[in-house]
Amino acid sequence: MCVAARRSFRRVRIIPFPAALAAIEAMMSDTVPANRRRRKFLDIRKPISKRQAVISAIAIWAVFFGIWAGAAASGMVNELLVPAPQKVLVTLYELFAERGFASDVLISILRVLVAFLAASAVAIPLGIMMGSFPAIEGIVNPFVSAWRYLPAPSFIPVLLMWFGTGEAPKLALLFIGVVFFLITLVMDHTKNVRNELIETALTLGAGRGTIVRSVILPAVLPNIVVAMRQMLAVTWTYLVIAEIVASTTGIGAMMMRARRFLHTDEIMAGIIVIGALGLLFDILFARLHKRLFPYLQEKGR
Amino acid sequence: MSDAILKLTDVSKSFDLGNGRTLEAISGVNFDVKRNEICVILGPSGCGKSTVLRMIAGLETPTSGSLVLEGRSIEGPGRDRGMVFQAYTSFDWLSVRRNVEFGMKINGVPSGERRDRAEHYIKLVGLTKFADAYPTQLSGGMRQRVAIARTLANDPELLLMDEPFGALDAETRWHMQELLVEIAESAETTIVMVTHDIEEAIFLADKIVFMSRHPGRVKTEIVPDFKGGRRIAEKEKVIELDGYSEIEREIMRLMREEGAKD
Repeated sequence: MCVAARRSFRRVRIIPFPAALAAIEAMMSDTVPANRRRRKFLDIRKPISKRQAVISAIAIWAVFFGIWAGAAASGMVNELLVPAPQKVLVTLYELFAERGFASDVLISILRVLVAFLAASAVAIPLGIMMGSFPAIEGIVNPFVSAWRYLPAPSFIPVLLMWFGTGEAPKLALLFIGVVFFLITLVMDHTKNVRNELIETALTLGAGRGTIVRSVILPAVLPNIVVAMRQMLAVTWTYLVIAEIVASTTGIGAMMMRARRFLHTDEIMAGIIVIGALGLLFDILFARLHKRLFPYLQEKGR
Repeated sequence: MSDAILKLTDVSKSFDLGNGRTLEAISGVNFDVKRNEICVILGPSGCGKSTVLRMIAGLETPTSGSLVLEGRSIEGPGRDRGMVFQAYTSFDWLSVRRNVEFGMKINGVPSGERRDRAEHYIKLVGLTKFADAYPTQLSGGMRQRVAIARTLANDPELLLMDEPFGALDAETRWHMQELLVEIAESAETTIVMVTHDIEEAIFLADKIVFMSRHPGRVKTEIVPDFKGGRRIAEKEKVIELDGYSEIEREIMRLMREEGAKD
Protein backbone atom coordinates (compact mmCIF):
# COMPACT_ATOMS: atom_id res chain seq x y z
CA MET A 1 0.00 0.00 0.00
CA CYS A 2 2.79 2.37 0.96
CA VAL A 3 4.67 1.59 -2.19
CA ALA A 4 1.60 2.19 -4.25
CA ALA A 5 1.09 5.55 -2.59
CA ARG A 6 4.67 6.59 -3.24
CA ARG A 7 4.44 5.54 -6.83
CA SER A 8 1.29 7.55 -7.33
CA PHE A 9 3.03 10.56 -5.81
CA ARG A 10 5.86 10.23 -8.27
CA ARG A 11 3.58 9.92 -11.21
CA VAL A 12 1.20 12.72 -10.38
CA ARG A 13 2.70 16.15 -10.06
CA ILE A 14 -0.33 18.05 -8.91
CA ILE A 15 -1.62 16.42 -5.78
CA PRO A 16 -5.35 15.83 -6.27
CA PHE A 17 -7.70 17.45 -3.79
CA PRO A 18 -8.58 14.27 -1.82
CA ALA A 19 -4.94 13.31 -1.52
CA ALA A 20 -4.05 16.80 -0.35
CA LEU A 21 -6.75 16.54 2.30
CA ALA A 22 -5.48 13.18 3.42
CA ALA A 23 -1.96 14.55 3.58
CA ILE A 24 -3.05 17.53 5.68
CA GLU A 25 -4.93 15.20 7.96
CA ALA A 26 -1.92 12.92 8.29
CA MET A 27 0.24 15.88 9.24
CA MET A 28 -2.26 16.97 11.88
CA SER A 29 -2.69 13.60 13.53
CA ASP A 30 0.09 12.75 15.95
CA THR A 31 -0.38 8.98 16.08
CA VAL A 32 -0.81 6.62 13.22
CA PRO A 33 -3.09 3.79 14.28
CA ALA A 34 -1.64 0.49 13.21
CA ASN A 35 -3.56 -2.48 11.97
CA ARG A 36 -6.57 -0.51 10.92
CA ARG A 37 -8.26 -0.99 7.62
CA ARG A 38 -7.21 1.98 5.59
CA ARG A 39 -10.12 4.29 5.05
CA LYS A 40 -10.96 5.23 1.53
CA PHE A 41 -11.63 8.91 0.90
CA LEU A 42 -14.97 7.98 -0.64
CA ASP A 43 -16.61 5.55 1.76
CA ILE A 44 -20.32 5.08 1.24
CA ARG A 45 -22.23 6.57 4.16
CA LYS A 46 -19.36 6.28 6.61
CA PRO A 47 -19.45 9.39 8.80
CA ILE A 48 -16.35 11.55 8.52
CA SER A 49 -14.38 12.79 11.51
CA LYS A 50 -14.95 16.26 12.86
CA ARG A 51 -11.46 17.23 11.81
CA GLN A 52 -12.04 16.12 8.26
CA ALA A 53 -15.29 18.09 8.20
CA VAL A 54 -13.54 21.25 9.36
CA ILE A 55 -10.65 20.83 6.93
CA SER A 56 -13.05 20.16 4.05
CA ALA A 57 -15.11 23.24 4.85
CA ILE A 58 -12.06 25.47 5.06
CA ALA A 59 -10.55 23.93 1.94
CA ILE A 60 -13.55 24.55 -0.31
CA TRP A 61 -13.64 28.22 0.73
CA ALA A 62 -9.90 28.52 0.32
CA VAL A 63 -10.24 27.20 -3.23
CA PHE A 64 -13.05 29.66 -3.92
CA PHE A 65 -11.15 32.68 -2.64
CA GLY A 66 -7.97 31.39 -4.25
CA ILE A 67 -9.54 31.33 -7.70
CA TRP A 68 -11.14 34.71 -7.11
CA ALA A 69 -7.88 36.32 -5.91
CA GLY A 70 -5.90 34.63 -8.65
CA ALA A 71 -8.26 35.82 -11.36
CA ALA A 72 -8.18 39.37 -10.02
CA ALA A 73 -4.38 39.45 -9.59
CA SER A 74 -3.61 37.98 -13.00
CA GLY A 75 -5.63 40.64 -14.76
CA MET A 76 -7.78 38.04 -16.48
CA VAL A 77 -10.87 39.93 -15.41
CA ASN A 78 -11.79 43.59 -15.41
CA GLU A 79 -10.87 45.00 -12.00
CA LEU A 80 -13.86 47.28 -12.12
CA LEU A 81 -16.26 44.35 -12.41
CA VAL A 82 -14.42 41.80 -10.28
CA PRO A 83 -12.41 43.48 -7.51
CA ALA A 84 -10.01 41.31 -5.52
CA PRO A 85 -11.39 39.68 -2.37
CA GLN A 86 -9.00 41.62 -0.15
CA LYS A 87 -10.28 44.86 -1.67
CA VAL A 88 -13.84 43.80 -0.89
CA LEU A 89 -12.89 43.09 2.71
CA VAL A 90 -11.25 46.50 3.06
CA THR A 91 -14.36 48.12 1.59
CA LEU A 92 -16.51 46.13 4.00
CA TYR A 93 -14.47 47.51 6.90
CA GLU A 94 -14.68 51.06 5.56
CA LEU A 95 -18.42 50.79 5.04
CA PHE A 96 -18.90 49.96 8.70
CA ALA A 97 -16.17 52.14 10.18
CA GLU A 98 -16.49 55.32 8.13
CA ARG A 99 -19.74 55.40 6.21
CA GLY A 100 -22.41 54.37 8.70
CA PHE A 101 -23.28 51.10 6.98
CA ALA A 102 -24.31 49.67 10.36
CA SER A 103 -27.53 51.69 10.32
CA ASP A 104 -28.42 50.25 6.89
CA VAL A 105 -27.76 46.75 8.21
CA LEU A 106 -29.81 47.45 11.31
CA ILE A 107 -32.79 48.74 9.37
CA SER A 108 -32.68 45.69 7.09
CA ILE A 109 -32.63 43.35 10.09
CA LEU A 110 -35.53 45.25 11.66
CA ARG A 111 -37.59 44.99 8.48
CA VAL A 112 -37.01 41.26 8.29
CA LEU A 113 -37.83 40.71 11.95
CA VAL A 114 -40.95 42.89 12.06
CA ALA A 115 -42.43 41.40 8.88
CA PHE A 116 -41.45 37.85 9.82
CA LEU A 117 -42.86 38.10 13.35
CA ALA A 118 -46.09 39.58 11.99
CA ALA A 119 -46.37 36.75 9.45
CA SER A 120 -45.66 34.17 12.15
CA ALA A 121 -48.22 35.73 14.50
CA VAL A 122 -50.86 35.23 11.80
CA ALA A 123 -49.67 31.98 10.25
CA ILE A 124 -48.93 29.85 13.31
CA PRO A 125 -52.31 30.12 15.10
CA LEU A 126 -54.17 29.96 11.80
CA GLY A 127 -52.17 26.99 10.51
CA ILE A 128 -52.71 25.08 13.75
CA MET A 129 -56.45 25.77 13.66
CA MET A 130 -56.62 24.68 10.01
CA GLY A 131 -54.68 21.50 10.72
CA SER A 132 -56.87 20.71 13.73
CA PHE A 133 -60.33 21.60 12.44
CA PRO A 134 -61.23 20.55 8.89
CA ALA A 135 -64.10 23.07 8.96
CA ILE A 136 -61.61 25.93 9.31
CA GLU A 137 -59.34 24.40 6.67
CA GLY A 138 -62.38 24.22 4.37
CA ILE A 139 -62.91 27.96 4.68
CA VAL A 140 -59.35 29.28 4.68
CA ASN A 141 -57.44 26.86 2.46
CA PRO A 142 -59.11 27.67 -0.89
CA PHE A 143 -58.18 31.28 -0.25
CA VAL A 144 -54.64 30.69 0.95
CA SER A 145 -53.65 28.19 -1.71
CA ALA A 146 -54.62 30.61 -4.48
CA TRP A 147 -52.53 33.40 -2.97
CA ARG A 148 -49.58 31.12 -2.60
CA TYR A 149 -49.23 30.88 -6.36
CA LEU A 150 -49.06 34.64 -6.84
CA PRO A 151 -45.42 35.79 -6.79
CA ALA A 152 -45.13 38.38 -4.05
CA PRO A 153 -43.02 40.79 -6.18
CA SER A 154 -45.96 41.14 -8.58
CA PHE A 155 -47.63 43.16 -5.83
CA ILE A 156 -44.85 45.74 -5.71
CA PRO A 157 -46.45 48.29 -8.08
CA VAL A 158 -49.76 48.25 -6.30
CA LEU A 159 -48.12 48.26 -2.86
CA LEU A 160 -46.19 51.37 -3.87
CA MET A 161 -49.40 53.04 -5.03
CA TRP A 162 -51.20 52.18 -1.83
CA PHE A 163 -48.52 52.79 0.75
CA GLY A 164 -46.14 55.28 -0.88
CA THR A 165 -42.45 54.85 -0.27
CA GLY A 166 -42.24 54.48 3.52
CA GLU A 167 -41.69 51.30 5.48
CA ALA A 168 -45.20 49.98 4.85
CA PRO A 169 -44.81 48.68 1.27
CA LYS A 170 -41.55 46.89 2.16
CA LEU A 171 -43.01 45.23 5.23
CA ALA A 172 -46.14 44.34 3.25
CA LEU A 173 -44.09 42.67 0.52
CA LEU A 174 -42.15 40.60 3.03
CA PHE A 175 -45.34 39.69 4.83
CA ILE A 176 -47.16 38.61 1.65
CA GLY A 177 -44.13 36.69 0.46
CA VAL A 178 -43.93 34.61 3.62
CA VAL A 179 -47.29 34.34 5.31
CA PHE A 180 -49.11 32.07 2.85
CA PHE A 181 -46.30 29.55 2.67
CA LEU A 182 -45.93 29.54 6.44
CA ILE A 183 -49.67 28.95 6.91
CA THR A 184 -49.53 25.94 4.61
CA LEU A 185 -46.40 24.50 6.23
CA VAL A 186 -47.85 24.85 9.75
CA MET A 187 -51.15 23.34 8.63
CA ASP A 188 -49.44 20.33 7.03
CA HIS A 189 -47.25 19.71 10.06
CA THR A 190 -50.29 19.98 12.32
CA LYS A 191 -52.16 17.42 10.25
CA ASN A 192 -49.23 15.06 10.67
CA VAL A 193 -49.65 14.93 14.45
CA ARG A 194 -50.45 11.27 14.99
CA ASN A 195 -54.08 10.41 15.56
CA GLU A 196 -53.25 8.04 18.42
CA LEU A 197 -51.96 10.97 20.48
CA ILE A 198 -55.26 12.79 20.04
CA GLU A 199 -57.31 9.67 20.72
CA THR A 200 -55.26 8.91 23.83
CA ALA A 201 -56.03 12.38 25.14
CA LEU A 202 -59.73 11.88 24.32
CA THR A 203 -59.84 8.68 26.37
CA LEU A 204 -58.10 10.51 29.22
CA GLY A 205 -61.01 12.93 29.26
CA ALA A 206 -59.59 15.86 27.28
CA GLY A 207 -61.90 18.30 25.51
CA ARG A 208 -61.22 20.04 22.20
CA GLY A 209 -59.47 23.04 23.72
CA THR A 210 -57.21 20.89 25.87
CA ILE A 211 -56.30 18.70 22.92
CA VAL A 212 -55.32 21.65 20.75
CA ARG A 213 -53.41 23.39 23.56
CA SER A 214 -51.86 20.46 25.40
CA VAL A 215 -51.37 17.82 22.70
CA ILE A 216 -51.44 19.20 19.16
CA LEU A 217 -49.51 22.41 19.91
CA PRO A 218 -46.59 20.84 21.81
CA ALA A 219 -46.48 17.93 19.35
CA VAL A 220 -46.18 20.19 16.32
CA LEU A 221 -44.01 22.91 17.83
CA PRO A 222 -40.63 21.43 16.87
CA ASN A 223 -41.75 21.24 13.24
CA ILE A 224 -43.09 24.78 13.39
CA VAL A 225 -39.67 26.02 14.48
CA VAL A 226 -38.12 24.16 11.53
CA ALA A 227 -40.69 25.73 9.18
CA MET A 228 -39.92 29.18 10.61
CA ARG A 229 -36.23 28.59 10.02
CA GLN A 230 -36.91 27.79 6.36
CA MET A 231 -39.23 30.74 5.87
CA LEU A 232 -36.88 33.23 7.52
CA ALA A 233 -34.41 32.51 4.71
CA VAL A 234 -37.17 33.33 2.21
CA THR A 235 -37.88 36.58 4.06
CA TRP A 236 -34.29 37.69 3.42
CA THR A 237 -34.80 37.10 -0.29
CA TYR A 238 -37.83 39.36 -0.38
CA LEU A 239 -36.04 41.97 1.71
CA VAL A 240 -33.39 42.42 -0.94
CA ILE A 241 -36.03 42.65 -3.66
CA ALA A 242 -37.94 45.26 -1.66
CA GLU A 243 -34.85 47.34 -0.96
CA ILE A 244 -33.52 47.17 -4.50
CA VAL A 245 -36.81 48.23 -6.05
CA ALA A 246 -37.89 51.05 -3.82
CA SER A 247 -35.77 52.15 -0.94
CA THR A 248 -33.11 54.63 0.07
CA THR A 249 -32.11 52.75 3.19
CA GLY A 250 -31.04 49.21 3.95
CA ILE A 251 -28.45 46.84 2.54
CA GLY A 252 -30.22 46.43 -0.83
CA ALA A 253 -30.49 50.19 -1.36
CA MET A 254 -26.80 50.63 -0.61
CA MET A 255 -26.02 48.00 -3.24
CA MET A 256 -28.16 49.73 -5.86
CA ARG A 257 -26.48 53.06 -5.11
CA ALA A 258 -23.09 51.40 -5.49
CA ARG A 259 -24.14 50.01 -8.88
CA ARG A 260 -24.77 53.53 -10.17
CA PHE A 261 -21.15 54.43 -9.42
CA LEU A 262 -19.72 51.07 -10.53
CA HIS A 263 -18.59 50.31 -6.97
CA THR A 264 -18.58 46.57 -7.41
CA ASP A 265 -16.63 46.09 -4.21
CA GLU A 266 -19.48 47.65 -2.22
CA ILE A 267 -22.05 45.44 -3.91
CA MET A 268 -20.00 42.38 -3.03
CA ALA A 269 -19.56 43.60 0.53
CA GLY A 270 -23.35 43.86 0.73
CA ILE A 271 -23.76 40.31 -0.55
CA ILE A 272 -21.29 39.07 2.06
CA VAL A 273 -23.19 40.85 4.84
CA ILE A 274 -26.53 39.42 3.72
CA GLY A 275 -25.03 35.94 3.54
CA ALA A 276 -23.44 36.29 6.97
CA LEU A 277 -26.70 37.53 8.50
CA GLY A 278 -28.67 34.69 6.93
CA LEU A 279 -26.18 32.18 8.29
CA LEU A 280 -26.25 33.83 11.71
CA PHE A 281 -30.04 33.66 11.96
CA ASP A 282 -29.99 30.07 10.76
CA ILE A 283 -27.54 29.13 13.51
CA LEU A 284 -29.65 31.00 16.07
CA PHE A 285 -32.73 29.03 15.00
CA ALA A 286 -30.83 25.74 15.20
CA ARG A 287 -29.69 26.68 18.74
CA LEU A 288 -33.23 27.67 19.68
CA HIS A 289 -34.53 24.33 18.42
CA LYS A 290 -31.99 22.47 20.53
CA ARG A 291 -32.74 24.58 23.59
CA LEU A 292 -36.53 24.34 23.31
CA PHE A 293 -36.77 20.64 22.52
CA PRO A 294 -34.15 18.81 24.56
CA TYR A 295 -36.18 15.59 24.35
CA LEU A 296 -35.51 15.36 20.62
CA GLN A 297 -31.73 15.37 21.08
CA GLU A 298 -31.30 12.18 23.09
CA LYS A 299 -32.22 9.34 20.82
CA GLY A 300 -33.67 10.83 17.68
CA ARG A 301 -37.31 10.06 17.26
CA MET B 1 -66.80 -11.27 40.89
CA SER B 2 -69.87 -9.11 40.67
CA ASP B 3 -72.23 -8.42 37.77
CA ALA B 4 -71.49 -7.11 34.33
CA ILE B 5 -70.33 -3.50 34.23
CA LEU B 6 -70.11 -3.41 30.44
CA LYS B 7 -72.82 -4.82 28.22
CA LEU B 8 -72.81 -4.93 24.40
CA THR B 9 -76.17 -5.75 22.81
CA ASP B 10 -76.62 -6.44 19.10
CA VAL B 11 -73.82 -4.07 18.16
CA SER B 12 -73.41 -3.69 14.39
CA LYS B 13 -71.35 -1.39 12.27
CA SER B 14 -71.48 -0.85 8.53
CA PHE B 15 -69.21 1.26 6.39
CA ASP B 16 -70.51 3.14 3.39
CA LEU B 17 -68.51 2.06 0.34
CA GLY B 18 -70.06 4.67 -1.93
CA ASN B 19 -72.27 3.91 -4.97
CA GLY B 20 -75.03 2.82 -2.60
CA ARG B 21 -73.23 -0.27 -1.27
CA THR B 22 -72.38 -0.86 2.34
CA LEU B 23 -69.98 -3.24 4.02
CA GLU B 24 -71.16 -4.84 7.23
CA ALA B 25 -67.98 -4.99 9.30
CA ILE B 26 -69.54 -5.96 12.63
CA SER B 27 -72.81 -7.80 12.93
CA GLY B 28 -74.86 -8.37 16.07
CA VAL B 29 -72.10 -8.53 18.64
CA ASN B 30 -73.20 -9.45 22.17
CA PHE B 31 -71.04 -9.92 25.25
CA ASP B 32 -70.61 -8.62 28.81
CA VAL B 33 -67.60 -7.80 30.90
CA LYS B 34 -67.69 -8.25 34.67
CA ARG B 35 -66.03 -5.97 37.20
CA ASN B 36 -62.32 -6.72 37.67
CA GLU B 37 -62.39 -9.16 34.80
CA ILE B 38 -59.73 -9.40 32.11
CA CYS B 39 -61.71 -9.91 28.93
CA VAL B 40 -59.65 -10.63 25.81
CA ILE B 41 -61.16 -10.20 22.37
CA LEU B 42 -59.37 -12.63 20.08
CA GLY B 43 -59.79 -13.30 16.41
CA PRO B 44 -58.18 -13.39 13.00
CA SER B 45 -57.21 -10.12 11.32
CA GLY B 46 -60.15 -8.42 9.69
CA CYS B 47 -62.69 -9.67 12.23
CA GLY B 48 -63.35 -6.15 13.50
CA LYS B 49 -62.05 -6.72 17.02
CA SER B 50 -60.31 -3.34 17.09
CA THR B 51 -63.47 -1.67 15.83
CA VAL B 52 -65.41 -3.20 18.72
CA LEU B 53 -62.83 -1.89 21.18
CA ARG B 54 -62.91 1.56 19.58
CA MET B 55 -66.70 1.59 19.91
CA ILE B 56 -66.35 0.79 23.62
CA ALA B 57 -63.88 3.67 23.84
CA GLY B 58 -66.38 5.91 22.08
CA LEU B 59 -63.94 6.65 19.25
CA GLU B 60 -66.36 5.05 16.76
CA THR B 61 -70.14 4.91 16.79
CA PRO B 62 -72.13 1.74 16.10
CA THR B 63 -74.65 1.70 13.25
CA SER B 64 -77.07 -0.10 15.54
CA GLY B 65 -77.17 -1.80 18.93
CA SER B 66 -76.21 -0.52 22.33
CA LEU B 67 -73.10 -0.31 24.47
CA VAL B 68 -73.82 0.28 28.15
CA LEU B 69 -71.25 0.93 30.86
CA GLU B 70 -72.61 0.82 34.40
CA GLY B 71 -76.11 1.56 33.24
CA ARG B 72 -75.09 4.52 31.07
CA SER B 73 -75.10 4.35 27.31
CA ILE B 74 -71.67 5.06 25.77
CA GLU B 75 -71.72 8.30 23.79
CA GLY B 76 -68.28 9.43 22.70
CA PRO B 77 -64.94 9.05 24.47
CA GLY B 78 -64.45 9.80 28.15
CA ARG B 79 -62.04 9.42 31.02
CA ASP B 80 -63.96 6.40 32.37
CA ARG B 81 -62.55 4.34 29.45
CA GLY B 82 -58.81 4.83 29.11
CA MET B 83 -57.15 3.33 26.06
CA VAL B 84 -53.64 2.01 25.45
CA PHE B 85 -52.71 1.68 21.77
CA GLN B 86 -50.23 -0.51 19.94
CA ALA B 87 -48.40 2.55 18.62
CA TYR B 88 -46.43 4.55 21.17
CA THR B 89 -48.56 7.36 22.51
CA SER B 90 -46.25 8.89 25.09
CA PHE B 91 -46.23 12.66 24.96
CA ASP B 92 -42.58 13.11 24.08
CA TRP B 93 -42.38 16.69 25.32
CA LEU B 94 -43.28 15.66 28.88
CA SER B 95 -41.22 13.68 31.37
CA VAL B 96 -42.48 10.25 32.43
CA ARG B 97 -43.92 11.80 35.59
CA ARG B 98 -45.76 14.56 33.72
CA ASN B 99 -47.04 11.99 31.22
CA VAL B 100 -48.54 9.97 34.04
CA GLU B 101 -49.99 13.13 35.60
CA PHE B 102 -51.49 14.31 32.30
CA GLY B 103 -54.97 12.81 32.68
CA MET B 104 -55.27 13.89 36.30
CA LYS B 105 -54.09 17.38 35.44
CA ILE B 106 -56.68 17.97 32.72
CA ASN B 107 -59.34 16.57 35.02
CA GLY B 108 -58.46 18.99 37.81
CA VAL B 109 -56.91 16.65 40.36
CA PRO B 110 -55.02 18.86 42.87
CA SER B 111 -51.25 18.82 42.43
CA GLY B 112 -50.39 17.09 45.71
CA GLU B 113 -52.69 14.16 45.07
CA ARG B 114 -51.58 14.10 41.45
CA ARG B 115 -47.99 13.71 42.48
CA ASP B 116 -48.69 10.93 44.96
CA ARG B 117 -50.81 8.97 42.54
CA ALA B 118 -48.31 9.37 39.72
CA GLU B 119 -45.58 8.18 42.08
CA HIS B 120 -47.67 5.12 42.97
CA TYR B 121 -48.40 4.06 39.39
CA ILE B 122 -44.88 4.78 38.16
CA LYS B 123 -43.70 2.43 40.90
CA LEU B 124 -46.34 -0.12 39.95
CA VAL B 125 -44.97 -0.32 36.40
CA GLY B 126 -41.38 -0.29 37.68
CA LEU B 127 -40.26 3.05 36.26
CA THR B 128 -39.38 4.91 39.48
CA LYS B 129 -35.79 5.35 38.36
CA PHE B 130 -36.96 6.88 35.08
CA ALA B 131 -39.63 9.22 36.45
CA ASP B 132 -37.78 12.32 35.24
CA ALA B 133 -36.60 10.91 31.93
CA TYR B 134 -38.20 11.79 28.62
CA PRO B 135 -40.05 8.99 26.80
CA THR B 136 -37.67 9.32 23.84
CA GLN B 137 -34.92 8.05 26.13
CA LEU B 138 -36.84 4.86 26.97
CA SER B 139 -37.18 1.48 25.26
CA GLY B 140 -40.42 0.39 23.59
CA GLY B 141 -41.52 -1.74 26.53
CA MET B 142 -40.90 1.11 28.95
CA ARG B 143 -42.89 3.49 26.78
CA GLN B 144 -45.86 1.11 26.88
CA ARG B 145 -45.50 0.97 30.66
CA VAL B 146 -45.71 4.76 30.73
CA ALA B 147 -48.92 4.56 28.69
CA ILE B 148 -50.40 1.96 31.07
CA ALA B 149 -49.44 3.97 34.17
CA ARG B 150 -50.86 7.14 32.63
CA THR B 151 -54.18 5.44 31.92
CA LEU B 152 -54.46 3.75 35.32
CA ALA B 153 -53.51 6.91 37.22
CA ASN B 154 -56.54 8.56 35.64
CA ASP B 155 -58.69 5.99 37.48
CA PRO B 156 -60.86 4.69 34.62
CA GLU B 157 -63.69 2.17 34.98
CA LEU B 158 -62.25 0.24 32.07
CA LEU B 159 -58.72 -0.16 30.81
CA LEU B 160 -58.93 -0.72 27.05
CA MET B 161 -55.91 -2.14 25.26
CA ASP B 162 -55.55 -2.52 21.50
CA GLU B 163 -52.75 -5.03 20.89
CA PRO B 164 -50.63 -3.11 23.40
CA PHE B 165 -47.64 -5.43 23.17
CA GLY B 166 -47.82 -6.08 19.43
CA ALA B 167 -44.85 -3.84 18.63
CA LEU B 168 -42.58 -5.32 21.30
CA ASP B 169 -39.98 -8.05 20.92
CA ALA B 170 -40.89 -11.50 22.26
CA GLU B 171 -39.01 -11.28 25.54
CA THR B 172 -40.27 -7.81 26.43
CA ARG B 173 -43.76 -8.92 25.46
CA TRP B 174 -43.95 -11.71 28.00
CA HIS B 175 -42.45 -9.54 30.72
CA MET B 176 -45.18 -7.03 29.99
CA GLN B 177 -47.87 -9.71 30.01
CA GLU B 178 -46.74 -10.87 33.45
CA LEU B 179 -46.61 -7.29 34.64
CA LEU B 180 -50.15 -6.73 33.41
CA VAL B 181 -51.42 -9.70 35.45
CA GLU B 182 -49.77 -8.24 38.55
CA ILE B 183 -51.19 -4.80 37.84
CA ALA B 184 -54.69 -6.15 37.27
CA GLU B 185 -54.48 -7.89 40.64
CA SER B 186 -53.15 -4.99 42.68
CA ALA B 187 -54.98 -2.14 40.95
CA GLU B 188 -58.30 -4.03 40.74
CA THR B 189 -58.89 -2.98 37.17
CA THR B 190 -61.34 -4.21 34.59
CA ILE B 191 -59.52 -4.78 31.34
CA VAL B 192 -60.78 -5.30 27.80
CA MET B 193 -57.92 -6.21 25.51
CA VAL B 194 -57.69 -6.98 21.82
CA THR B 195 -55.06 -9.36 20.50
CA HIS B 196 -54.45 -11.89 17.76
CA ASP B 197 -51.83 -13.71 19.87
CA ILE B 198 -53.39 -16.99 21.11
CA GLU B 199 -50.83 -17.58 23.84
CA GLU B 200 -51.27 -14.05 25.14
CA ALA B 201 -55.04 -14.47 25.21
CA ILE B 202 -54.96 -17.74 27.17
CA PHE B 203 -52.36 -16.44 29.61
CA LEU B 204 -54.10 -13.15 30.39
CA ALA B 205 -57.80 -13.79 29.97
CA ASP B 206 -60.44 -14.58 32.53
CA LYS B 207 -62.68 -14.77 29.49
CA ILE B 208 -61.91 -14.92 25.78
CA VAL B 209 -64.40 -13.53 23.28
CA PHE B 210 -63.54 -15.22 19.98
CA MET B 211 -64.67 -13.30 16.90
CA SER B 212 -65.16 -14.59 13.39
CA ARG B 213 -64.96 -12.49 10.28
CA HIS B 214 -66.97 -11.55 7.17
CA PRO B 215 -68.88 -10.15 8.94
CA GLY B 216 -67.34 -9.76 12.38
CA ARG B 217 -69.43 -11.44 15.05
CA VAL B 218 -68.87 -13.33 18.28
CA LYS B 219 -68.24 -16.95 17.34
CA THR B 220 -67.84 -18.28 20.83
CA GLU B 221 -66.80 -17.36 24.36
CA ILE B 222 -64.06 -19.39 25.99
CA VAL B 223 -63.33 -19.41 29.72
CA PRO B 224 -59.86 -20.77 30.39
CA ASP B 225 -61.07 -22.47 33.58
CA PHE B 226 -58.06 -24.77 33.69
CA LYS B 227 -56.41 -21.91 35.60
CA GLY B 228 -58.87 -22.63 38.41
CA GLY B 229 -60.17 -19.07 38.54
CA ARG B 230 -56.78 -17.82 39.72
CA ARG B 231 -54.47 -15.33 38.11
CA ILE B 232 -51.00 -16.74 37.68
CA ALA B 233 -48.30 -14.21 36.92
CA GLU B 234 -45.71 -16.64 35.62
CA LYS B 235 -46.23 -17.66 32.07
CA GLU B 236 -44.44 -21.00 32.14
CA LYS B 237 -46.59 -22.10 35.10
CA VAL B 238 -49.70 -21.47 33.05
CA ILE B 239 -48.32 -23.34 30.07
CA GLU B 240 -47.45 -26.32 32.29
CA LEU B 241 -50.99 -26.65 33.62
CA ASP B 242 -53.24 -29.45 32.43
CA GLY B 243 -55.74 -28.13 30.00
CA TYR B 244 -53.54 -25.40 28.52
CA SER B 245 -52.69 -27.27 25.37
CA GLU B 246 -56.28 -28.40 24.81
CA ILE B 247 -57.54 -24.85 24.87
CA GLU B 248 -54.70 -23.73 22.64
CA ARG B 249 -55.53 -26.47 20.12
CA GLU B 250 -59.20 -25.55 20.22
CA ILE B 251 -58.45 -21.90 19.47
CA MET B 252 -56.05 -22.84 16.69
CA ARG B 253 -58.80 -24.94 15.15
CA LEU B 254 -61.16 -21.95 15.31
CA MET B 255 -58.53 -19.71 13.71
CA ARG B 256 -58.01 -22.21 10.92
CA GLU B 257 -61.73 -22.34 10.22
CA GLU B 258 -61.73 -18.57 9.87
CA GLY B 259 -58.67 -18.68 7.65
CA ALA B 260 -60.44 -21.10 5.31
CA LYS B 261 -63.07 -18.43 4.61
CA ASP B 262 -60.81 -16.58 2.16
